[in-house]
Amino acid sequence: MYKHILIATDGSELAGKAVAAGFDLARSLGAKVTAVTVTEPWTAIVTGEAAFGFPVEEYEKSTNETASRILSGVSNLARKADISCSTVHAKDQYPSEGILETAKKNNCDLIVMSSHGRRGLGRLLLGSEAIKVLTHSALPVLICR
Amino acid sequence: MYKHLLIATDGSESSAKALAHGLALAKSLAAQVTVVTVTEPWTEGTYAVLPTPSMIQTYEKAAAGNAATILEGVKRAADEAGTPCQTRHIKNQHAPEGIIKAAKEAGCDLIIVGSHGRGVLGRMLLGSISLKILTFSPVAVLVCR
Repeated sequence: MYKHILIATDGSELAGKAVAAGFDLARSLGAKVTAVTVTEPWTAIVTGEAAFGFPVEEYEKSTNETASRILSGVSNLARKADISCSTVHAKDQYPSEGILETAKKNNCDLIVMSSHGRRGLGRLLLGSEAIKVLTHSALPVLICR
Repeated sequence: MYKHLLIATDGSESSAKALAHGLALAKSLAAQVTVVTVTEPWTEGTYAVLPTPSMIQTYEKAAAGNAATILEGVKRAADEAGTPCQTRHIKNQHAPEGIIKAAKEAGCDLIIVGSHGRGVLGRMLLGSISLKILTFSPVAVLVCR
């Protein structure tokens, strides 16, 4: 069955469920795991006048910190669960594209993610990034909730 | 991990992939499998003329026949895969509702679907029924392609 599972997380509570489900599945199947978190390009977040007060260097520093905090959390869980897990920070990408590209690069055979991330919680019944991944993925996608 | 998988099929190629994935996954996880196919109510497929009882009967007979053919194929695939499964035909329901209802009734903890069924094939990047299942499912959904 699946040999290499890609788990996508943005550190949100719901993404935590995908991490837990992905780890469970990996353990049951003896698969290895790559966990990915994606940070968006500076221009996607900061526009107009706000850009003067939030230069690109500051932005990158803060996204690096956030990503490494999220990924070290996942690594700790993996160590506790005794699962072989590598982590990837995909920088300067839109989440769905970063997830799909990381899956391709690492030859993953399953993508696990949650139905929602940090944005649009509860308001949407299915998150926009989940829809984009589902739409463009050539791999099977497991959506947790 | 997952104990009881629900695989949804309409007999299409994409469903066949979901079936193959689901059976293999069930084997790896030693999980139970229920395979469901749903046929829609008469009014869904047919317009323009008022139904007479005999027309409805003819439709229902044809729907039952189609479902039986699909589920026989499923049984054969399950036998070949060496994974025992239960099959179920849900009548007179919209496909997403019927699938979610079947999952609830059987106490399934994972729904497996293809990315597309027989509907507007290939033209859409993610099928409307898969999208509705993803939106309304209370449990995790694995989308295969």
